[in-house]
Amino acid sequence: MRIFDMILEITVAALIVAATGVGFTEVVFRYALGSSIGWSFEFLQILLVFITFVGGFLASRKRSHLRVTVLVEALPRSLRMLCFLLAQIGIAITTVVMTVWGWDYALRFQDTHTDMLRIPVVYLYIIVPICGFAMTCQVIADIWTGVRDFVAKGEPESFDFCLPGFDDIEPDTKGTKP
Amino acid sequence: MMFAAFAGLLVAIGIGMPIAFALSTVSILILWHSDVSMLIPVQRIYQGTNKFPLLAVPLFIFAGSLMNHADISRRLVDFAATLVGRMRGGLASVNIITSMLFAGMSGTSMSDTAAVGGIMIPNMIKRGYDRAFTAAVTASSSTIGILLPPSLPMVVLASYMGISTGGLFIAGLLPGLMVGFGLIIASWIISVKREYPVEEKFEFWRFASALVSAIPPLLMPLIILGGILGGIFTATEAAGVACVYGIFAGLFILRTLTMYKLYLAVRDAAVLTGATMFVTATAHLLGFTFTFQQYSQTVMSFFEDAEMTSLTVLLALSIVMILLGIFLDGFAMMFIVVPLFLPTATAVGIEPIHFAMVLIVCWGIGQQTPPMASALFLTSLMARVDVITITRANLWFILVMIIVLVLVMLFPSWTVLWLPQKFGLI
Repeated sequence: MRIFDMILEITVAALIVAATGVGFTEVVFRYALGSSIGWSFEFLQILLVFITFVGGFLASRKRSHLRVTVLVEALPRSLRMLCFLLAQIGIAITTVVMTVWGWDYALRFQDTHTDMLRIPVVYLYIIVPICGFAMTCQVIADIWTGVRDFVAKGEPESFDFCLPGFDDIEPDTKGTKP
Repeated sequence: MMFAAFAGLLVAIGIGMPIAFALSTVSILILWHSDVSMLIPVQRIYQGTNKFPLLAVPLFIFAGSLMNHADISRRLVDFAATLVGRMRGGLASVNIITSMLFAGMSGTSMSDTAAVGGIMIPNMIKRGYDRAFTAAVTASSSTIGILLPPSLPMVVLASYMGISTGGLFIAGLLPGLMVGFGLIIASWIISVKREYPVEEKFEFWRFASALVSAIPPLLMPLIILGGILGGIFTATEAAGVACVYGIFAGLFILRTLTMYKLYLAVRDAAVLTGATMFVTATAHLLGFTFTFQQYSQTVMSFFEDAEMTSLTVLLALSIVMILLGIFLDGFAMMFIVVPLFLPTATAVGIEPIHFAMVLIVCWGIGQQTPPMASALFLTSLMARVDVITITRANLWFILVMIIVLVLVMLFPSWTVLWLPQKFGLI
C-alpha cells in the first residue's frame, strides 16, 4: 500500500506543480508578451477540482483530515470504540452519496464540453464518484483495522503524536515538568 | 431545527469525525430530512471546489512548504536577533519578530510554531527562560501567521465569503502588526519583571550581514504584497509567482533546497492541500444547507428583535466566535459561523471585510486556549511543559489579542478598512 500512497502523493504533487507552472506562465505571458493564455483559466479550474478530490482521498489514506480528538481521548475505552464506529459511519454517509448520486450526476453531462479545451464535462464530474468510491473502500478498511486493533490492543486507533528532535533539550531548574 | 442541526454538528465533530465529513454528513441528513434530491449535495460539493480564487490555497501551501524545507528559519532568527536582541528578554522578542517575518511565507500558525519554535524554544530554555513562558510566547506569536498575508485561513475565508483575497490580505496588515508589537511589549514587561537576560548589543555590520542573509526569504512576502498592492497580479497569481520564486531562491540563492527536499516540500504540500481543499468543498454544502433552511434568517430576526446596534451585534458575534473557536478547529468555526452570521452582520451595516477580520482575530484568540489549541499542544511537546501551565502563562498575550480585537471592532476605518480602500481593493 506504500506504493499506492506514493502514487497518490506524486499525483497530487504533480497537479500542484502543473498549477504553479501554468499560473506563473500566465503572468509571464501577460506582462512579457502582452497577451494571456486563453485556456489557462479553465485548465487551472480543472486542476483545482482534481487536486481537491484526489487530495481529499490522499488525506483520508494519511488520516490527515482536520479533526478534533480531545473529547474522544478523554472517554473510556469502550466509548472511544463507539465514537470511532459512529464517526466511520458518518464518513460513509458522505462517501456513499458521493459515489451513488455522484455517478448519476456525472452521467448527465455526457454531451457537454468545456468552453475552451472542449473536454467532455463528464470527465470532470466523474472524479466525484471515483473518489467517493475510493473513500468508501477506505472507510471499510479503517473499520476493519479499528475493530482488529480494538480486539488486539484495546484501542481502535492511535492518538499518539510525537515530535522527533525535541527530546534532547537540556533540562533546567526553571519551569514546570509535564 | 436550527439548534438540532447545530448540536448535530458539534456531536459529529466531538466524536472525532473529520471536520470535512462532519460538515457534509450533517448537511446531507438535513437535506434528506427536507426531501431534497441527493444530487444537490454532490453538485454543491463539486461547486465548492470550482472557484478560481481557491487555487491560491494549494499554491500558498506549496510556497510555505518550500520555504520551510529551505531552512530559512535560522536566517530569520539571526536577523531578528540583530534587531531586538538588545532588549531585556531579547530572545522572546526575537521569537515574536521571527514569527512576524515567517508569517509572510508560511500562511499557517502551525508551520510558524513548528519552524520558529524548533529553533527558539530550545535556545530560550537554555538561556534560563521559564518553559511555560517560552511556550506561551511561541504559541501566541504564531497567531500572527493567520493575521499577516499570505494567510491560508484568509484565502479560504475570502473565497467562502466571496470577497477579495488581496483586500483581506491588506486588511490584516495593521491588526497583525498590532498583535505583533503588542506581544513584544507584553513580553518585554514580563522579562523586565523576571530579569530575563539581554542578548547582544546592536552592531551595524552584524545587522547588515544578517539582513543580507535574510533578504532571499524576506523577498517572498515583498513579492506577494508588492504584486497585489501594485495591481501587478491577483492573489492567486501571486501565489504561483511565490512558488516559482521559492524554488529559484531555494535552489540557486540559498542553495539549501535539494531535489529531494523539493520533492518533500511538494509532497507535504499535497497532503495538507488535500485536507484543506476537501473541507472547503464540503463547507460549501453546509453554507447552502443553512441558506436553504433559512437559519441565517432566524439569527437575523433574533438580533432585529433585540434592536441591537452594529457594535453590540459585532460584540455578541465575537463572543460566540471566540467560544466556538475554543472548542472547535478554526476552520470548522469559520465554516459554521459565516453562513449563519454574515447576513446579520451585513444587514446591520458591518462591512464584510471588517466582519472577516474580526472572525480571523477571534480565530486567533480561540486557538490560544485548550481544548482546541493546536499551536499550544505543539509548543507543549517542544518545551515539555503541560498545556494548562502554558495557558496560564499565555493569559497576558491573550489579553493583547483581545485589546487588538476591541480596537478592530471599535475603529474599523483605521485598523481594517483604511489600507484596502487606499489601494482600491474594496
